[in-house]
Amino acid sequence: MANLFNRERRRFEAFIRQHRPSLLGLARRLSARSSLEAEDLVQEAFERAMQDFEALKDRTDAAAAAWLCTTMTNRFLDYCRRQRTESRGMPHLALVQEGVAQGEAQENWELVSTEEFQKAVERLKPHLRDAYRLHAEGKRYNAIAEHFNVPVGTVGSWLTLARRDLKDLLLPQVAVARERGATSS
Amino acid sequence: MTTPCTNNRLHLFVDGELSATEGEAFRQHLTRCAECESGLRDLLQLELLAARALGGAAPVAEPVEVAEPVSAKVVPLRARLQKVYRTAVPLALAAGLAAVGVFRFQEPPQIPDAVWLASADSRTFEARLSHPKADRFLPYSPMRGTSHASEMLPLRPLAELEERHDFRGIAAAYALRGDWQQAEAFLGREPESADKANDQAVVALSRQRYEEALGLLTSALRQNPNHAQALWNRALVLRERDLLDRAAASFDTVASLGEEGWSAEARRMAAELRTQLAEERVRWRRQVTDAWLTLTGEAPWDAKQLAQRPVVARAALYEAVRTVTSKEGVEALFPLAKELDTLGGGSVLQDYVRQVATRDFAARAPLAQGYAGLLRERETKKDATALLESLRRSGERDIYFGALVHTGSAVVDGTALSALRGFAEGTPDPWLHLLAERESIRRELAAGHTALAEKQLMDAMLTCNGLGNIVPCMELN
Repeated sequence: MANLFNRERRRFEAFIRQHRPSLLGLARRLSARSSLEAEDLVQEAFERAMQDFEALKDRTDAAAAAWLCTTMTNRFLDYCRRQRTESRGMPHLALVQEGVAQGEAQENWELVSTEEFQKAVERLKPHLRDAYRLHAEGKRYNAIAEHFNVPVGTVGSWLTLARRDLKDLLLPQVAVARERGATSS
Repeated sequence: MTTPCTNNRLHLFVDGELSATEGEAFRQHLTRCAECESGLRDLLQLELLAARALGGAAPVAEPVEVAEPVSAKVVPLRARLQKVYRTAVPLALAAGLAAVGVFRFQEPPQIPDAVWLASADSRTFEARLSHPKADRFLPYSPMRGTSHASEMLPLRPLAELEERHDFRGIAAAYALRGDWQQAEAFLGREPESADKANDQAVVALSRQRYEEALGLLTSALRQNPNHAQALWNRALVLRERDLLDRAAASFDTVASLGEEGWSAEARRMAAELRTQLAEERVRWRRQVTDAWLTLTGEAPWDAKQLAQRPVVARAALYEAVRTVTSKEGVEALFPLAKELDTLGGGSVLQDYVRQVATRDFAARAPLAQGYAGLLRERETKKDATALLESLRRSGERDIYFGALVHTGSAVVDGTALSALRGFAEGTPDPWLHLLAERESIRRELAAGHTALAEKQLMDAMLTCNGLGNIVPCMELN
């Protein structure tokens, strides 16, 4: 019993080690310039993961990451709603955690592997690809603008375009993968 | 017109490129705009994938200092610690270990030794706490006293300790910083144990509540007779009450436990106390002997002058009354008895002198001389059996009392002890009561009833100190 417990514990630790850095990076962006704590967001997501770990532990990395992302997004939206009611002096209403289309977003993205994502990035137009990579490496808009010698606003547009193209490139694959899954089962 | 949905606001927001005000406005907008919320979910999934696939660090806006509300100062410990606990998860550990400690069933996080002043190079108080981390041996340096008080107590580990119900650990952390009130409060939440009793005794000791401390230590030692910290602290309590001999004995026991550092320190303490006690005894006896010789000698003496050292004069007076061989000799001691009674209140010494003056000195004188010989030859340990027997059969009970106290016969002889106590109870002199009590306690000690004996000694010492500085309390050792 103790061994089983230890094994589960080690698995969950590994799970945290694997997903925490990327999740925390995202949480920091969401909580930038606000009183929200990135660590709080991440911790709450992992607390939920711990409760659901029995189901989560055997899923793919992509699926687990998508699940964590959805959960953390829900926490973040809860926070935004709470801020809004508080700022208006309204009483706390029951927080609606299940937002719009959350299931669909998660289901779409949990089928995309990191390899497929990397291939999709390769297929972007060169300036969009390079801008996106620089941004993914942690560069701010102004640094990327300086790199390409373009206005900051242009960088924003490029990144928006890059993301739109990535989605277009990846989501047909998602549809194919879903069909394949349905056929094989 | 620019609405939050246009101009790539969502992307700017997720990329941390909006100002604080713009970001706040967008967060409010998000909760009302299904399209933006849906876009946010999609975008975050994509960005998480990017982070995992491209492995770069996500761009982060400069952190904003958020002032802690004033109310945080009065937030209950638990809530406050929870907050600190979460936010203090070090970023440096983000590679994975950071999450350790966030979850109950994970490996419990290491509590940093700084909680118990790991970097300290000396102890600021003498007592020993039971928590192993707070009980490292360090040289005692009282003069550096309050330097640790200002050392910040890290709150995150405290929260973890509280989570583990390690109230003794928290109390130790506070105690090391001199916050005895907090230490006492947390100890109150700890389940009963020898360790708890010991630590409570340390608190009592720090507040000079010696009797309470001794009671707690006795309880700790009843549960664990070899409780090193309790034995050590008991030595400190006894020493504070001037029971140097018993303190040394308690240090001896600590020394015998063979703990690194502590053992040698305990031996040194015991030796120091015994040296101190021996020196005080020698000095005391010389003073009493000198005064006794003055009182019984040919040269005139001044009662007022002698009474300036009432403790010595009193002890010398008893010896003089016991050893003079004539009615006149006893009556000559009356002025000193009067002076000393004036200091101590009542008339016990004058009554004693008057009463002895009525004795038949034909019978008393030889016994008085025998007793004087006992005093002079104290160091030779001359066999006093015959003298004691003569005294026992005689009616000179005050001399018999003196001889029993000097020879320590009552410790091994029950009949002698009864006689001793009987005589003391027959007089209103509190010092004689205490001496009889002392002999009785010595008998308890010899029988191995240490805890009971020490409790009685503490009580006797308290009574003695309560008499004012008129009797030699040190003699209770």
